[in-house]
Amino acid sequence: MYLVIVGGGKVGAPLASSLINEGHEVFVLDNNPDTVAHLQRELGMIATIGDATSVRALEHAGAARAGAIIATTNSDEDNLAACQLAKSNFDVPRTIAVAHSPENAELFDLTGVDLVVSATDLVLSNLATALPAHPLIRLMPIADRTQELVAIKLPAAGTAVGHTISGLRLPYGTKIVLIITADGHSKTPDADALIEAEDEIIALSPTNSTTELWELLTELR
Amino acid sequence: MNMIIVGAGNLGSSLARKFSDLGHRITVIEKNPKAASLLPRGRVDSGVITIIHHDGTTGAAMIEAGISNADVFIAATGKDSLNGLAAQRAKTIFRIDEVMTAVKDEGARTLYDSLGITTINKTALASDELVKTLTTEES
Repeated sequence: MYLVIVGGGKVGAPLASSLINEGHEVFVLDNNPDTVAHLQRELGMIATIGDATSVRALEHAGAARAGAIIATTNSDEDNLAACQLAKSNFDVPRTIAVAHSPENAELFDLTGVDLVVSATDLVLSNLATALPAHPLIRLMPIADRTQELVAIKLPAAGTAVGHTISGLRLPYGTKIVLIITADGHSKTPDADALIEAEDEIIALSPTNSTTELWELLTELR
Repeated sequence: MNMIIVGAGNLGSSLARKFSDLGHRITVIEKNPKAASLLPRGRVDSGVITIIHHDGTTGAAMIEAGISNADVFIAATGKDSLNGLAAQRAKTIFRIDEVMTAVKDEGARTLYDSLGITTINKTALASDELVKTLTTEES
């Protein structure tokens, strides 16, 4: 697939390199001549100097035949503009943008960016993973953020401990996909699988009932 | 009317001056404290024009500028993408009916038309005006 990457910096450069390795045709637009020169040295003539928030630069980058545009600059407003112009002027089928501020991530979602990568959410969920006591970890948004994959660590004194999965009154639409036991082994979440102290539950949860799921699984006796 | 203008450069300051002449209340959001010197000092001192030093693309700045009571929102910085982000937040999040954005790139017009945001292109306006003047002189 032909992919246009906007911004060849800390995110864009390694992304370009890995997409090339996967066999994609990649082109990078960046307004910094040094960044472009560096990319050309590392990856060949796949980068050019250009302001991706201008229609002309997008046209030169071949946006009209691109399967997707991925905007990775440090500037949220430039990422939004590049995606929106690519969609409105060149019908690029898939637009992907990094948003650094959470309120911009929300706005990007509402204004038609197909996939929003929220830098803050990623950092927070990584930090949460590093803190073992943290009870709810949002692993990944799914299906336009209507559902999400979450990990919830059960307290030793939780009311859920000792129940089987079918004995839990899970919120509607919630599906437990995996259980990781305290010693790090995984357990298939069959209906009769027993929930034990300090199990970590990985579940697919409708985004609006994640809190309910968390309350159910972390409620103390 | 209550108007919010983002950017106190040439365009933003000129709009603030002209609309305050017409009796409207203006709040200007300008990130750079030094850049507000183009605003008419008397109007600022008398409170007809309020200045807020903040990043005008953020919801926090818009709330501080009183966006819940605003009738018109104009994004008038020198950077198209900043204007676009601010204008879309005003329109989508704060539901302001009358939102305008300054653009340099004429190619962005299709996008903002589809979003119900009015575009102001200084260069196009100036050249239209010149052409009109010259054509009128000739005839």
